[in-house]
Amino acid sequence: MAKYVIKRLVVAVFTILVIASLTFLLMNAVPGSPFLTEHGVSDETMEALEAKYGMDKPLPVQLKNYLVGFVQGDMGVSIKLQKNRSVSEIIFDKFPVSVKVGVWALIWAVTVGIVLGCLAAHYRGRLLDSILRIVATVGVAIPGFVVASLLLIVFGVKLKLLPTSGLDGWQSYLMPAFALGFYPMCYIARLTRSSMLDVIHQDYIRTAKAKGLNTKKIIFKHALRNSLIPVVTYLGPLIAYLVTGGFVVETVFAIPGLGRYFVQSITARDYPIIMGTTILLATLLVIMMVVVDIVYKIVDPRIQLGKGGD
Amino acid sequence: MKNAKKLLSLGLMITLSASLFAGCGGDSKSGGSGSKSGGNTLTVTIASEPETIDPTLNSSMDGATYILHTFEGLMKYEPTSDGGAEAKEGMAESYEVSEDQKTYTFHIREDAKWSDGQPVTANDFVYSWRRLVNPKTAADYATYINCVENAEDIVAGNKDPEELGVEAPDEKTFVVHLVAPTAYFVSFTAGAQLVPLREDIVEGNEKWTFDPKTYVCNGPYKMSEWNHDESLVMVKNDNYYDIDSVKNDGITWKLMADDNTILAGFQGKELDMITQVPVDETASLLEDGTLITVPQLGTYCIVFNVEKEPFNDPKVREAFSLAIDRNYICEKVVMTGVEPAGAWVPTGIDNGAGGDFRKDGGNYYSIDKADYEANCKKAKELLAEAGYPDGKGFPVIEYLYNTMDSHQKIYEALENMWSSVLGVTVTGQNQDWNVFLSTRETGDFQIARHGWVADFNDALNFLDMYTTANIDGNNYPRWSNADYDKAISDSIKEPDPAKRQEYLHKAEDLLMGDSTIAPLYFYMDKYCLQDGIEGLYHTPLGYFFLKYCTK
Repeated sequence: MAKYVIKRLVVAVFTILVIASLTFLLMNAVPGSPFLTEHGVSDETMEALEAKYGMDKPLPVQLKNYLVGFVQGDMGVSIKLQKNRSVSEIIFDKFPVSVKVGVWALIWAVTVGIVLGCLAAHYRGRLLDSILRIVATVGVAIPGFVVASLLLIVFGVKLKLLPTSGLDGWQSYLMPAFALGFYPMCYIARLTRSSMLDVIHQDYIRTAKAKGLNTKKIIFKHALRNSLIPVVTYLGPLIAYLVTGGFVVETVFAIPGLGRYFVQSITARDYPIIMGTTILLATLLVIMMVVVDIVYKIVDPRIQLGKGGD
Repeated sequence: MKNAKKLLSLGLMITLSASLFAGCGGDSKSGGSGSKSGGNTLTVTIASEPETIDPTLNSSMDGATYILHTFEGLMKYEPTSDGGAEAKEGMAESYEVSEDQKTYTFHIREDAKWSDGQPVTANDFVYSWRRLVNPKTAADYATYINCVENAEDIVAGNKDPEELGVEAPDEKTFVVHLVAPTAYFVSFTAGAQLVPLREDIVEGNEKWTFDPKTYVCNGPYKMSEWNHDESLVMVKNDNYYDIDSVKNDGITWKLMADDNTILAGFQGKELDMITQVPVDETASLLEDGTLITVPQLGTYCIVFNVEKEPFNDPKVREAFSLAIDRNYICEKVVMTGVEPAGAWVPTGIDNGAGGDFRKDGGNYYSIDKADYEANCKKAKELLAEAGYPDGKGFPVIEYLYNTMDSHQKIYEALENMWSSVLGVTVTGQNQDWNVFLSTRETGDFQIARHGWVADFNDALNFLDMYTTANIDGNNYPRWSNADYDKAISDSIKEPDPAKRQEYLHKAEDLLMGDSTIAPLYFYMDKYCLQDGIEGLYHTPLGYFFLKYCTK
């Protein structure tokens, strides 16, 4: 197991390097410059700016400089969104805020999603199943900004129950966490339901029923574990995405998280921030994939790590 | 069950470690002081996180607003009786102009102090102005003071920043040498780019703006907290010479991006003043008086690429311009109380003699609703004269704009007008802002949208961009006219204000007579203010001032 994990981590470092290099080349291939303005920047100013941020050198040299700096812990400074503030400072400042909202979203999405999925499978074809199916389908179909705006208008503006912006006190987490976790909750419910339906038709469940075990025990002890595999697969990347913040939810609720930096760095061509956020997300994704593999083993001891495809 | 427990504990572990991590940096941010409405502090939103609040590097409206509340230049903007603003003596107690109007001597007030108690000296201005033109600083507004001796050469890298035409003969005297008499120069020094800076603080520390301790300023307020993406908190600067006139204890600028959230904050009385509302709500908010509009010196227009067919023919350009129903665009599309534009330089630009440049110049085509049909008729005739009767044989035209709902709506309206009046086919091409800027600058378009808001209150600021020398800059139509270039350079050299105005009008006549551009409307600024708050004022350059606001 330890050997397997070490092997995976080595591959992970390599993967992140490849992603970083590809991102670097791709973002430079997109037309437009961070320094253009409506004032028609003079050629001299443009040259001075490019020299200042090391963008006057050929791309491979820039990439090498970036990677060397990165290994030494220097991710450069923002050139547009927060001029001259270091990227690592921005990430250490913003990431924890997104993590806080993301973790709450995750907790509610997973717990509620799994329970609803189990209930739907158990009562399949009955009224409860239909209701849950409608909710889940609607939830997967509605875009996040609609959910967020609806919450804002109903609970923030009309009922004045919850604060409309910022993060002060636990009340202000309710709407953002709900909005951020709504889609994954619905998705997890659907996933759990279908894999649970697969599982409860298998022989060992019939055996358990024949032994006279009660339904609750059958569903939550025997069936749930095996039907969790697809959910765990989905959870890996989901965690990475949730903790790095949702752009829409953070914008609507004015949460000072990292989400906007993923989107705005690209429109503003703020290259160092594009690199920083991409590497962060890539790292989290790669780590979560290793974690998912380990969790597979815990959920289903029959799975052999390191054998077969990963 | 054992394994399920393991799973659970693993899940908990992840959660806990994540929330521990969250505890590290996040908590210190929330619950910032003074961020609640109430007391004698104001909570307002004018924009999201600013790119920078470094006076030299800033080029945005929101950044300049923050800077003008914390810094003060030689002159400052003070309210006029009609809620507008004019430049009055600020850091400079008085000034003298030489006979040839090329040398200005400013006397800095004795009681002018920095927020850390040190006196403001002429050297602080010398440093700041040199920093602006220094090519190493690479400021967007480096060319802003081209009227000062040697500035142009320094920006181009041909001279040292030390050669800039400014000097400090003693601690409290600041002398500026200009290339030519410049009528607007005095009011110009109230601009956010020209405030003094402390060399000992700024030099060598690019992060000086991020820390309230090093954001040493000389204006009515000083920064007390900057919670990025959340709020910028300002408190009264006790070292400010005129602190008694400041009517409130501080301002919390909430940094927000979403128009709906901002409006929700205003309606929930969490925000005292806002300047952004959702486009769909604008009309109803205007109607019930919540949204107030004030004049702004800016023009929305479309530019024709005069280097490319078919817009190399002035008749085609004029036909396209006349076929636009500007009243419809203002009333039915933009709906923020904007005024139809009959020319390029907007209403409100000073003529240097207490009058209005636009009133003197008049309109270049009728913007009267009743005349629209006549305009259309003329447009059809012009297009026929150009060889395209009823649009026959006219190529398919592409209209370039940057991706944004409001621009798209204008494009759709224009497309409709051109196809129904002229019988031509127009397609729209939208590009993301940065791509749009480079496409438009390199002239890779047929028609493109454009907009300009004044940097200073003078017609020159609208006209000098269309010179031949600026073809690779923001002379987007790529238009070149020797008479125009001469009129502009004459106006720069002319010491007599009346003659200077003549040159500027001549230039605008040439520009508009050739239908190089088709102005659509003059901008309006808008804001919502809670009842009971008084003392807000605004300069038509786009800045709101809150220092005299009381609750």
